Amino acid sequence: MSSVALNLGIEALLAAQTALDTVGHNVANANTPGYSRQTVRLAAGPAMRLGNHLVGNGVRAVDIVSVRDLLVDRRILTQRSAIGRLDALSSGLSDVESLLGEPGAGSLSSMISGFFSGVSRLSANPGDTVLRRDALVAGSGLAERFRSLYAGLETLRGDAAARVDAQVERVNQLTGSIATLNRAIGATEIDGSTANDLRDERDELLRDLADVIDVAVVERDDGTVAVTTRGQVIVSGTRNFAMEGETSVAQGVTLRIQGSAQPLEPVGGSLGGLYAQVRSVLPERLQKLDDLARSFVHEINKAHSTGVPGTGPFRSLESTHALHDVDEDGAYDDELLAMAGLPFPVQDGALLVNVTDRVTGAVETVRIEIDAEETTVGDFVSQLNAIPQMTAVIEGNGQVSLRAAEGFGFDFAARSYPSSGTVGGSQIGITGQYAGDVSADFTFRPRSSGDVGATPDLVVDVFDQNGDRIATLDVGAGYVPGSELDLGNGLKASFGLGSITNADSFELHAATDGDTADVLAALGLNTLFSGTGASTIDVSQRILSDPRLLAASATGADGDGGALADILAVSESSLEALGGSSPIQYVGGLVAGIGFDRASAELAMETEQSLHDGLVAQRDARSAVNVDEELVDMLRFQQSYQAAAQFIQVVNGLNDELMRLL
Amino acid sequence: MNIQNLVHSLEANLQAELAGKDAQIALLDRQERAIAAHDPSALEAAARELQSELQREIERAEKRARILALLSQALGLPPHPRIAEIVQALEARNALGIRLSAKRAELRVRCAEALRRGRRLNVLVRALASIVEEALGRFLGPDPSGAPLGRGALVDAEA
Repeated sequence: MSSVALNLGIEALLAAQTALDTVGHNVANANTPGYSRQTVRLAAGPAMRLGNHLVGNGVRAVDIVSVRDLLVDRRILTQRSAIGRLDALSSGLSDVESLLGEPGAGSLSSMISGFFSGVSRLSANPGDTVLRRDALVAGSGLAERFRSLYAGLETLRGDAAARVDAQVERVNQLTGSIATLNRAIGATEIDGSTANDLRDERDELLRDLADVIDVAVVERDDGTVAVTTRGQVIVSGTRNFAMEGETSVAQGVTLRIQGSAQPLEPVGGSLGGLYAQVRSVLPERLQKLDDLARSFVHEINKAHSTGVPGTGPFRSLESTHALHDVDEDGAYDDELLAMAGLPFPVQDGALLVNVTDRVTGAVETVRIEIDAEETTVGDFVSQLNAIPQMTAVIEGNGQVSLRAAEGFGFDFAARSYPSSGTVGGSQIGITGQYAGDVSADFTFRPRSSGDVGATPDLVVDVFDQNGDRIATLDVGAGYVPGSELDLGNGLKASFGLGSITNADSFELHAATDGDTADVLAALGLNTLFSGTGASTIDVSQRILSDPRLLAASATGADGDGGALADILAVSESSLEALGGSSPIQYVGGLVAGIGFDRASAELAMETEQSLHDGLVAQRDARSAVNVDEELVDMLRFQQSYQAAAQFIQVVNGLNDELMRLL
Repeated sequence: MNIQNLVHSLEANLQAELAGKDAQIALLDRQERAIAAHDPSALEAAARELQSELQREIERAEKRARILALLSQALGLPPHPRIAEIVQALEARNALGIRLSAKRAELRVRCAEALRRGRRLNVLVRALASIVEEALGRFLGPDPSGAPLGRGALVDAEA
């Protein structure tokens, strides 16, 4: 019996000592991140049989357990992943916002406005060389801003990709450490005990991992955890599977888990945020900026290419964009013009080529029809070569060269043509610039027969392409042959002496656009901007070096700024390529979109942070060490031991005395 | 008071002391279990009950001393005899002495048991008190090494 009693005391002493050690351990780790409060699980020892009696065998500490709530712990991991992602996204968008610098001097919108202001000032005095240079300098500044923004966004993307690499390294370090701890925990817990401190350490690593990437954690019976991300295993038992990143220009970054062919697309954590930046956020912004620059270049060039420069019609011109031998048969001629690898589209339409006799000033206009599905490069060049005094050549590098014969010049302005002809025996002349909104075809038809300027009531009716009469011209008695009669929309007609009959007619074409096929902009003939997007946009070096080549005029007449008006119209135009926005509106939308996304990310992050803090508070209420509580516990033990010791001393004294008496 | 009445009184007192020892042993056992269960409240409650039991034990010891003094005088024994001497003298006289002898033997066993438990509990309580003292000292006292605080270092909560 005495050995049983002795054993009971030793067990009690050991159990109490374990409990107190645990209290001390809790206090020592009160400030250790991720530490979960530990408690001692006590249980009665197995009873011993002595004869016919079962004798209690004291109390023993069977285990030290961490006080934790697995559900809360897992939800904290999820919240941390969400916060990590939003933090990275918000930070990235904030960088983009800073780069754009909107609104402000030097911002893209102010540079676009500055360019159009320069063009507007020039339109008031198109011949002014200083104003021409100012407009070109504003255009160069705008192009430079486009390029620097694009390069800045590329740099941000590159930085984000580099940070993805660093985060991948971090994931691999963490998963390696978790696998190592899995091994240690498994070895420790093989006897049924609980490796609380190792588990705390592993939980802390899991939380660190959740900051970087979204993870799902499953605990196994042996105490180890399996960790997966987006359905792919990164830790299993004592083994971790390394994450690998591959950087490419097109994709930015591609991630894979060692041994898996399936690409990994992280969503949560800082890695998820950075991955989204590299794969979508920044590429989308780059694309939008490129779309804007490309659309801007195309629209301005379409307006400029049909204008006439200050030096008058061209003697020669060379395209800035080269044709491509798409079928690689060694010839450009057989390629469809609309599919010859030009950077901008060619569509169904017509190109007007005006050839001017520099001596007489006479202009011959030729209309070249272009069918996007049929017209080949060869057809187009042949039609150009068919124009008197014009030569067109496809150079070896695919560029198209146009040249006028000596004494002649050419341009692509929208004109009414032909400028002269005959109605019966009368010579008809057309002057003025057509001011109609849409291109139109007019037919001149005498209502009766007679002599111009002599026959009473001799009139010529003018019909539009719909058969509607738009004018009646009195060319009978009283008309002075050669004098101009108003047709409306800026056009005038004059008739020479001669006889006309009601069977005669004259066809007049009035165009509002010299190139409805957009072939000049596609080839880069007489274009103001070179380049095809935000990274390459620039003002044509040809025009920069000679500002007179800026095609301000729509007619070639001195003081005419018609082409500048067309360029200015782009600033207010709803551009299809920009989703119906004008360039300035598009920039505003781009900036607002980034601002909205950043603000949304920040708001979401605040919400997620608040949820996280609530979960941590919930966890701490259960798991965290309350130093005061632990101290109170210790003081209570101290007091109770002191009191007990005093009484026991008296008891022992009295029993000693009684034993002596007995 | 004659010898027979004194012997009856001694026997009754011994009987009370036997019950007292049982209660004392039970209370010592409760304290030991309270310590093992890491339950200071139970330990304090058991200690308070032991205090009351001690008061009654002291009263019984005083009564026993008075009876023994009268008996030794009546039996012509020297003052402050041991109970064994009185029982021995009475055994020779009558059966009452024999009964008393049995009670004395039983009380001796119980007393030895209480003494053994009390001594062990004394050792246990002192050992535990020193553990708590050390833990509190480590927690509240200054760091003798003067080493800088690191992760998980003990700190003064009040500071």
